[in-house]
Amino acid sequence: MRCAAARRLISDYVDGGLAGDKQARLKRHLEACPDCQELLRDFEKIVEEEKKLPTPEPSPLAWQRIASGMEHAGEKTAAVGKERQGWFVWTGMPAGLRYALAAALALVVISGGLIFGLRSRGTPGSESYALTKLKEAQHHYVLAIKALDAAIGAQKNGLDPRLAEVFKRNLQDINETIQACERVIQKDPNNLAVRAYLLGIYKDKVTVLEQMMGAKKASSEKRTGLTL
Amino acid sequence: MSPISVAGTLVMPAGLRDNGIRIVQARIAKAFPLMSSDKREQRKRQDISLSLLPSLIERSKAGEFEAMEEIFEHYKGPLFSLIYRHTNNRQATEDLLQDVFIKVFTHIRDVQKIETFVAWVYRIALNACYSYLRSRQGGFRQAVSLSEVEGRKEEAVYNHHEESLERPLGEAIQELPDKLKTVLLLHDLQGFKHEEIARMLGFTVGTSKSQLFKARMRVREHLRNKKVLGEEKR
Repeated sequence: MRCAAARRLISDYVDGGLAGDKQARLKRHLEACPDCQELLRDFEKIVEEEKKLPTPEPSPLAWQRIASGMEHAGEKTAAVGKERQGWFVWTGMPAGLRYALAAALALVVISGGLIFGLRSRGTPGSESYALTKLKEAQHHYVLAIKALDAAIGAQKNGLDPRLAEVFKRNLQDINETIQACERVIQKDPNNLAVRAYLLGIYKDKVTVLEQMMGAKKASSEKRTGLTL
Repeated sequence: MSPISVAGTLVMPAGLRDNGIRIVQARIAKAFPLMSSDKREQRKRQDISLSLLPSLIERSKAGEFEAMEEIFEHYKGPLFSLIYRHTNNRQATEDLLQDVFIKVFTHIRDVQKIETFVAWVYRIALNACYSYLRSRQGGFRQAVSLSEVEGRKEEAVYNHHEESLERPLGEAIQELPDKLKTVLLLHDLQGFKHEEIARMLGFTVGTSKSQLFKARMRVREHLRNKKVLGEEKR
């Protein structure tokens, strides 16, 4: 066997993909050829080192972005009147997806409206813009919380009673704070600070509900041994 | 997840944080449940239950959010890695990953043969990569190595006294022509067999083997030029 032929077989040999006569001929060649021996060692080293290369992970928000993007894809589909238009229509969505989309929209509204709007409060009209955006964000959070509540309700498994009690107490306190904010807003609907604070509370509620859903999911997976 | 501090009195117990939504670590081996095993070590871990993917696909077709998220969780890591090795740009990779999964889930009803699902998803990802690279031809190509982004992980694997090939190897792969890079990434890093790569990329098994050989030769040449591989290093 010549080196040119041996070299091409070495790549296969490294992967364990060579057998029989070809393998025997290559081995005989390797015994007598230091250059091909070196190529074999280098390929083995390369393959070994490739396995150690890090595997980067996407952002934790990746799924929310995708869920949000799917909603836009659904809107486009609906706009051209295709048969599948109902697939991603809000009311027909599973509770979990409704929650993800609402949360994603709330984030978009907050970053687009609250941040830019509040930054430019000094300019005429910008306060009403910020107020509008806060109201929009509030609306999306309310939708997110509602859908998340429904998603949790749809989960069949229960929680450890002690854990359930902790969640209950946390949610009670959050709800009381929300009610207090709403009372202030009722008296002073244009109070930006309270509306902004209320959004923070909504966010906390979403976090607690997320944790609750995760705890239920984890408990379910533990019971069923769910793996792919 | 951050602790809750509402109304001044509310503090989430530390233990509760562990009960948050669990992100399933997407291991490459887990991402190929329908692929048969071969002799390579990295494929030996793939003999995990194959039963769930078909039902996840069916549930996703029905618009079930949890099923889609499960699929995403299992494939996000390998696909992110594959795309990142093509773009070498984290933000672009995030964007492309998003595009890929939106395409997958909005067209999942078109999936007829579940056996081809993985190859279909990868084909979408690769097309997205090539499209991105075409759009950047002649423009500025990012030259930030993966190790700069992955600093902490890198330290976990290598220490300063150990001779590390990670950086030069990453560079060598980055410099490969796109097609050679794809074959090497799919075979050596993602664990696909030549038959699977050939079907995915639309060429013969022989071509896949030949491309892999060429890719490895180029990587070897790069590492030898950098003097991190070769007789003198032993």
